[in-house]
Amino acid sequence: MRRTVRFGIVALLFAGTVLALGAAGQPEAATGSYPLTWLTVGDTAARALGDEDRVLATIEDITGVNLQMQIVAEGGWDRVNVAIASGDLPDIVTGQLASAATNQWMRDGILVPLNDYLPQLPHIAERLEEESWTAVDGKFYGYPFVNQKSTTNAALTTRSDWLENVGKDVPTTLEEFRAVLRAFVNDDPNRSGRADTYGITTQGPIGAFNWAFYAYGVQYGDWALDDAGNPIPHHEHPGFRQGMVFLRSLWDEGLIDAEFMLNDRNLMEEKWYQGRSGYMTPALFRHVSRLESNLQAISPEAGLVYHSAPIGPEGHSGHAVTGKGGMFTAITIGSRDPQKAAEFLDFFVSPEGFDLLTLGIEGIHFERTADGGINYIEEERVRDNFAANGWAHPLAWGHVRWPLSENYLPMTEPARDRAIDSVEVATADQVPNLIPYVTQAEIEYGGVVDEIYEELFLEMLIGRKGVDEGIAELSRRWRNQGGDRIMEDVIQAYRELQ
Amino acid sequence: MADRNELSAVPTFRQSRLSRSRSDSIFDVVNYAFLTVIGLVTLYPFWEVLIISLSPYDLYLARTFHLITERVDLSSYRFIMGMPGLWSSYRVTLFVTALGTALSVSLTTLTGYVLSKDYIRGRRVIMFLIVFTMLFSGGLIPLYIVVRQTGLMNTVWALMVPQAILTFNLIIMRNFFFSIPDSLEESARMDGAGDVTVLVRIVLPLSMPVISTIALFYAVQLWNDFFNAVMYISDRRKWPLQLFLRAMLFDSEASLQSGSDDPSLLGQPIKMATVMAAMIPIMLVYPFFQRYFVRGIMIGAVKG
Repeated sequence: MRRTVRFGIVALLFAGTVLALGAAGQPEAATGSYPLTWLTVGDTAARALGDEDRVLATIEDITGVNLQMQIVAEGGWDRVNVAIASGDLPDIVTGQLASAATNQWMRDGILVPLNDYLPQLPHIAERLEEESWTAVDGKFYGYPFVNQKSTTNAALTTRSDWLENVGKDVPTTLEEFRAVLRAFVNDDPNRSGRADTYGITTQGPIGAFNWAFYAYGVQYGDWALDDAGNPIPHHEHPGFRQGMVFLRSLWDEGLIDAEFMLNDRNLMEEKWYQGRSGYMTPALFRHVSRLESNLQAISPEAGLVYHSAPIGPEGHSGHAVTGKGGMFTAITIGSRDPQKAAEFLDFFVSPEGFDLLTLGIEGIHFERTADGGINYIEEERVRDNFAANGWAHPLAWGHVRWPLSENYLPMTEPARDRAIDSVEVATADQVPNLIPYVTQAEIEYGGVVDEIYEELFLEMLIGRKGVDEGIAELSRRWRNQGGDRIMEDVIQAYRELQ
Repeated sequence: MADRNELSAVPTFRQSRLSRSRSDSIFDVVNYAFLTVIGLVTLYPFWEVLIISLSPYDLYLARTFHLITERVDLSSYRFIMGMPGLWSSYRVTLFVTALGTALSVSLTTLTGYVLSKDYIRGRRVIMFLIVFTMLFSGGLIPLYIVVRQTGLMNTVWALMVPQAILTFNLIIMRNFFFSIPDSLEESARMDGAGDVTVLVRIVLPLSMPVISTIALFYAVQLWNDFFNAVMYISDRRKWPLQLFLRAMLFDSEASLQSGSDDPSLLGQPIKMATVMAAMIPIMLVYPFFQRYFVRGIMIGAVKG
């Protein structure tokens, strides 16, 4: 009996272990095509990829690969970095553009240079020609996607009912903007009979106030130029001082939400819906319709108004900064057939691949109308995991592009024209960069010097330090804590680009 | 002399009793008030999550504080019930929690029992090596390599097997086994019991308090774990509940631009309903096992 019990337990444990390990094994698809693995964070809000996805099958037919996607959960860049560091190399990996990890992969020889394959990669070659700065010693190690490089969705946004209530038009200059903010605070725009409003709220940290510095002549999104034409940090440009004095005066008059540093996106938007602030700095584009309908749920007569950044005394203006961050998709040395992997990636970035992932297969997922429009066949699209209402396939976004970069909105998107218009207005105020990329020293010291900037910016804004005193301290500490090293890299990069 | 002592003792006793009583009362009032405030501060976030999840969207948008809702609206719950991702992640979490707890408790019990026996040679060395891993971890990359090499990647087993035995729990379990008198085991052996019979018939029935405690430790940890899923699971259909919840609440550039079931487009009541869905099961279980927490740890600690 004792032996039987003992044998039973041992057998049970053994069987459990065998079953567990057996279940753990990944079955290899025996299609005869090249099994290609792609590790990426991808479109984290997308639906799960299905087993019998016709879009995926079409891509595999065209490219001759058996695609095995490894899509990591939202924000899971650590997972990607750990996989590469531990030698778990996929054929294709998508990392963060301008990150220490991605640069390390290049230095360590983990990524395969694409130069030899470029003649067979027309779409990648075209992009690399535009982004020639991504080459390291003449070698292109991957396909760069820069988020918000040529378009942006950030613009100053207010509400039409408040403008009407205080008798003001949409402001165009800094002084008109100040006047509107004053009226929003002093003239009871929400008709509550109490002084319970702010002029503007935003979402900390501080970039949302850059419009003040650009209005006073700070020239570029990343750096400024001094009178001799040498790169300097924003805060050493005279326009920064003037912008800071302007912002300080807004703060002293109580026009800026005193708790803006505590806001996340939700809280900022709620303050605006609830009539606690007249202005905010949201992401527009496909959110125009959502923001306006939420606003009208509380104030049915209100409308969303976005407009250009206020113009300074000498005619300068600007709001959103041109992006430098994004994604970097590359072939690793773990790929048994780098050329095949590169050709697959080229199809992925091609217009044909893009149409397949956004529209689907013609006749199955959509039909073209006589006037050039698109009819989505939703019941078929659902079968292949397309998102509802004309939105895209799980593989469409997050790997080599985002919707904003393509100006992509389905035909069924509510307020589609306004959404596109909001991008045009915002993009007109987008400020270019002096250097198109993030230097190595910025990657290394950027976090420290940004904290110093934020600390001193706040102290100057709320009056704990005088503007001149604050700028002097900011400049000294910023340069001592890595800023000088950053500026060496920036000046060198600027000279090379010239 | 005795009388005088008695006489003098009475008023002293009365004064002392009166003054202690008053100060006790004051202390009690202050104590209760303080603890009530602490309790309310702790409870408020849960309460707000519940109220927001039950609020219609227009009422939610109109309010800053959410102490009560004028209209109860279950549409957020109806919405999340229709999300296929919720149910699949629920299934994964229930599976991982149930099987993982059973696996962990079994392995911890067996290991703890063996290491509590004096006659096992080298048990101190083995215990030292185990405790060493608690103090000096190998780090993420070696663990990732082990999971990959054992073929556990992208399987739910990766959420259970690599951390099946937590050293802290093993120490508690082992210390508890020390408290069981050797004479019980010896008498069982004299009656002809073998190792397995002693463990199953004698030791385990006496160890139910510590097993319950350890089981709850493991269950709560497995229920709440999302990091292992981020590291080892890339198939969305195998996401556990906490990873699904994280994706719902995570607000990033990606979610602001995404073209799919964008979390940023979902209202806060829907997000809070998902939080409730993730919290309710473990909150329902917790009160029934809570008393074992303190008792189990104390048993292990005192006898250690």
